[in-house]
Amino acid sequence: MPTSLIPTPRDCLEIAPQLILATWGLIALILDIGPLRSATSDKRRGTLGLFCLAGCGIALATMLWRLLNPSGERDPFIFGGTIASDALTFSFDLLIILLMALVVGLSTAWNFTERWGEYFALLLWAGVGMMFLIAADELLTLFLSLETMTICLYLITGFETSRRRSVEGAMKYFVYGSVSSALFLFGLSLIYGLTGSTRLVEVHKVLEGDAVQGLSHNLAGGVAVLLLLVGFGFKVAAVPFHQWAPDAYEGAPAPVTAWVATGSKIASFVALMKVFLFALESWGSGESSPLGPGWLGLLAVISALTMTFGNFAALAQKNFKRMLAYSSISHAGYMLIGVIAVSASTKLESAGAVLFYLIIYGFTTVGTFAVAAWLARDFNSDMIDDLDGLGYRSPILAVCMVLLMLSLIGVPPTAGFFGKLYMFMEALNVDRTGPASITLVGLVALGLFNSVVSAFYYVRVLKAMFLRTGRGTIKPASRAIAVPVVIGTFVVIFFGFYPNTLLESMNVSAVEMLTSSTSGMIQENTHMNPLSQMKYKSGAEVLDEYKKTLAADKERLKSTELTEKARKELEEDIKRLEGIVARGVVATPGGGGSGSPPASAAAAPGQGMGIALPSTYPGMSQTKSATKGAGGAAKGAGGRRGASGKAGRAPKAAPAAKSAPRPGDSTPKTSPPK
Amino acid sequence: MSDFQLLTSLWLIPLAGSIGVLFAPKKSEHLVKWIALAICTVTFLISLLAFGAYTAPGDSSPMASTLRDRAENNLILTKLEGNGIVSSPKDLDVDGDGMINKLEITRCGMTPEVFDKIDKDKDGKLSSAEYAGLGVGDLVVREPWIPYFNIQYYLGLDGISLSLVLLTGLTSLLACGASWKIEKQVKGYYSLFLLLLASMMGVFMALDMFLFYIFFEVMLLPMYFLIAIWGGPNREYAAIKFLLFTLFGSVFILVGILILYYYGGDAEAMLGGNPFKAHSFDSIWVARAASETTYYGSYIQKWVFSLMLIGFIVKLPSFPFHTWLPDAHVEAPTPISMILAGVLLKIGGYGLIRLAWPLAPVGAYELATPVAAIGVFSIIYGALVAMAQTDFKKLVAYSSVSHMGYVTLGMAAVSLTADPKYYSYGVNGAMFMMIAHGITSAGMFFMVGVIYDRLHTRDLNKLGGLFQPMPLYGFASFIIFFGSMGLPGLCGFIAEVFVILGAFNFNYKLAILAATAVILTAGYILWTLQRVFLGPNQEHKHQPDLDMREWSISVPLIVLTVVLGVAPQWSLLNWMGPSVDNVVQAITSAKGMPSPTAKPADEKKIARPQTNSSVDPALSMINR
Repeated sequence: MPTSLIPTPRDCLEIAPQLILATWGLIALILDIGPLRSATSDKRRGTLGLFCLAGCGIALATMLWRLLNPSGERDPFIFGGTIASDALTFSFDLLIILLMALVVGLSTAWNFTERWGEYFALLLWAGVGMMFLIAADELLTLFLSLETMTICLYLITGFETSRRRSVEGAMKYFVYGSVSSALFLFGLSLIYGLTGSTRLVEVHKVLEGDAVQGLSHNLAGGVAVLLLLVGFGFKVAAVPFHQWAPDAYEGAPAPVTAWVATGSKIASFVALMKVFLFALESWGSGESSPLGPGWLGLLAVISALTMTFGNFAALAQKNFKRMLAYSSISHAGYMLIGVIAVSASTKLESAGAVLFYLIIYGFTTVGTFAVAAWLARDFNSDMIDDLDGLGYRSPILAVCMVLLMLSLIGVPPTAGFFGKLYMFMEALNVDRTGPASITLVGLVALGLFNSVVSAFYYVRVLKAMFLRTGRGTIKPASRAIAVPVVIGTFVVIFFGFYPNTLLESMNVSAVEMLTSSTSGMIQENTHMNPLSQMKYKSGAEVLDEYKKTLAADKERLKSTELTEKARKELEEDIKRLEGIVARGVVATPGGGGSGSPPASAAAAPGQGMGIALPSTYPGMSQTKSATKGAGGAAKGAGGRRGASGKAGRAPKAAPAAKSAPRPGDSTPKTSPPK
Repeated sequence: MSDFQLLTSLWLIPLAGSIGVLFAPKKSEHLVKWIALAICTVTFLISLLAFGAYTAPGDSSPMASTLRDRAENNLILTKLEGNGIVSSPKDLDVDGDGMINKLEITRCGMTPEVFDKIDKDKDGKLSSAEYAGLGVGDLVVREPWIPYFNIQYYLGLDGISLSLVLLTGLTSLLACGASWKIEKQVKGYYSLFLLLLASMMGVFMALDMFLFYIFFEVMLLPMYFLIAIWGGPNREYAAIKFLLFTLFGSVFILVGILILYYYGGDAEAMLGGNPFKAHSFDSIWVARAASETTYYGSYIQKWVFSLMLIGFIVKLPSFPFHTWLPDAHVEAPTPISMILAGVLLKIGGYGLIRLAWPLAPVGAYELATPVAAIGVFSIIYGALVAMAQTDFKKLVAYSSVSHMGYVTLGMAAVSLTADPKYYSYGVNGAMFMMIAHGITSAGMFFMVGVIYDRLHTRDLNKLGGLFQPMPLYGFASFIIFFGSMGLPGLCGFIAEVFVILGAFNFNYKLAILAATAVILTAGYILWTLQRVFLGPNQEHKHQPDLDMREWSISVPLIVLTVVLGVAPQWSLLNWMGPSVDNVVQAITSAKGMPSPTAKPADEKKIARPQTNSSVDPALSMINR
């Protein structure tokens, strides 16, 4: 096993928030069965809630600490490249922790369950799963974190045992979820079978040759894509895999619904974008016909169905949470437009629009579900009619709610409007002509039409709050309820007026998301297919690279500024590199030592597949740093860690090279299975 | 006051007031009313201040140069400020002689060519009057807002927008006075009222299309609640109908804007020495591209125009999309009806004149006849339906549909075969109609409200003989209704004559049809007056006449109805006309327009027949 796959303390530091939160869940569990054993439910709820909030606070603090104390050169290559650590994971971990804090706070609003220890532990662990899901750079890690997240969510959905709907919702969620997970896993296994790797970056590289033909004559690939779509479709609640959502949303206690609707959806969307827009990018569509065989057209159909169905179904709802469930389905449809736009666009930054929308959507949704929690607390029901007269009983929160609803409709000047428009504008900005662009324009038109339709049911909430005089039993909101509503409103207004900062940072994150941080991407032109310009290196060239790095390392060793530890590591690296250079064994394309010309390697996908893996590694530090320089991120990769990482990965090159000329692998892709 | 402060305060003060009144202590309804009135007054005074700045005498006054020039020069100032050396042009004066010379200005990266352009008298120095060329005191504000999409905080005033800003300020002030009897949820009412005022002001000032759209949409919410909470018995239906119609229309506008933003991709066109590329929300700049280059072909212009037309005639409203208006008016409380008829409908017309036509002149020209036909149909249809009404308020509402038809007709009557000045009549007439209708319809709704307050009915069959107990009220109503009817000497007449004059040279059949509608208008208005004021009066013998508050609301409207009718040139056209002519000139001289078949030799005449002429042939005809 390559040394770099053994986690170092530094690797653990990168995932400190996750570790803290996972431990915190355990401690909460122990506290519940230990010291708090005989306490009342109220007391346990309050204490454990505060305790978990403290956990979120500490996790946030570690992130801030890392932000303020950048440890020199950060290498994104952690845990052997299975987990990313870049601008995307940082910002979205931050988002998840903030949302988690709101949900934890919201959970303390009333007693919907007795088993608080398990509840909070599962809540936190679901969050840990989400954070790993966002960071996953490898299909197995992705699947494991997806399951960590969903299994926790299945369980807490059914925690309100006093209501049958809760249990029913959990059951449905679980049955649908486990079937879709099984199918998803099958899809993953097919991907592995077809590409020989589970790492997103390698899958990406192997499939690169398919950019021209898309999925045509590739039955296995098509099946894999379909199965993956089932899995992701379930997680983001896209039609036709949405059936669980209304029942689970309605049945689950409001804080859990908030958590399912935001955290789970956000994380799944990021994972979806990583898998489809990065790893399976080449299967999006063929170049001959932009909507040709590939997942792009499929996703377009799903997107259209999802937003239209979600909106029209929401029109008929009387239950507030159920209405929000359908609205959340329709929002998934809007976001899928954004995803399609990225795939058809030449700019990777356009994925920033989806990320932006996810953030706004997350805060808005938590705010609205806080109101649902309020109803559940006081009425033990959550019909829209229960909101009657809220505007006169609690004007400030009602006004906040108005703004949240406006943001969900997409009315300016709220951030929801800007986010939606931003996504639609990226969709219109695609400079491909022909069917892809027409489809996108059609989708945007449909999206705009749907926004108008959605106004109808969101306005019903406003109508209930302001135009009716209601029952007088609703009590003032506690802080646990008010805080998410107010924070959501603040986000919606603030980013409605000043979207610029968030927008730019999301663009940076998007670029990092779609250029896997563990790979070296050439990004000079941020072309549609960033790797299409990449030249494969011959064995001799790779050896040259190593020699150059070795020389550079030796040069560095001479400088006096190095610390003792760094010097040691550098010496180790040099030793390794010297070994490689002395042996002269580096992966050589086509099995021979001659080195095939770059052009022919790029032209022949079957051959390119075998050689791509080893030969790109040495180029990594240079190209990566070039990318970052262009992206404006303050992260150089070419330093100490880069050197050791390179050394660590070098041995891996040899076994990969041995399997390079695998004729069996290339046939299913190049020749049609007839 | 700098331009930035002046224009920003026009929408920011009402917005701040809107939030502010929410925090007034409980049970302080009277205080809230006075605060709101004060804010409306201040806003109106600021709009007067802007008017003063606009019409200031001298070469440096904003009126002396077109909005386009001012907007482009303002960009120069923005660029100068962007380099960090100057915050105002005076900082450029290094040698302290009170003048800026070429050397001083080139230090900041301005090219000598630009300097020569601003230096009008060619003495090599910029006098204080020429500062205006640098964008000071030009009533244009331009700051980056969301640079990623090239969105600016970009406001500006010219005659067209200023007239509507003044109208908004006045109507809101009067409507605020008319709201005095609102008892329900006073704080909420005034908060929404002021929010509405802020967004209306913003719409008329915004030159960035994105910003325009934002202000346009913000209007929806307060209007929805104002109808839905304070309205009549069927208020919820009316409010949601209003909301959905307008939201639906605004989506069309948004799509039109986005097409303009994206069309062309990386293509470039040369425009005034600068490259023009897509990805601009700057309405002035895009309109210039649409008019001076062939960047936007006629096909795409037709699309843009159709989309914007649909969006704006929903708001206007014109025939196929007018059904929300009667409902909204009938259910809305009196002051909101005043605002709705007086200002909100004008936003539709303003959108046509500021965006739909200038941004797609060729497309608009090709669709001119059907659009004009829609206008004429609205005129006749509105008048006929109004005649059939027994609800006083519904009648006035349908009369608005009829009158707004003149706006559509006036805009659509682009006749290239004859002298373009005829088109200028049409557009001037359309603008005049918007102002005149803003005053008379607000007045009419107020008059209806006065009756409704006293008798609690609007049924025309139950009214009658009101002149006798309420002579003052009768006097005010007669003037305002006659003004709306188009009696010569009152404001409506001027507008109708101008529009029909313009239309005659476009399509005489349509013009005749439109002219005959005047008879219908006279018919329903006279019949209404007869049913309300004349005849026997059994039921309503002892009604109090207008009180001080009602009288003080009526007087400004009466005065304006008369003044605009008697001295249209002096009161409005002198300062509004040149701006309208600029728009007309840009539309008629647009590249890609089919060349006039009759007189191709008239190229120069078409190019600029009335540069800066405050006295247009047609306008002077009125004075004669």
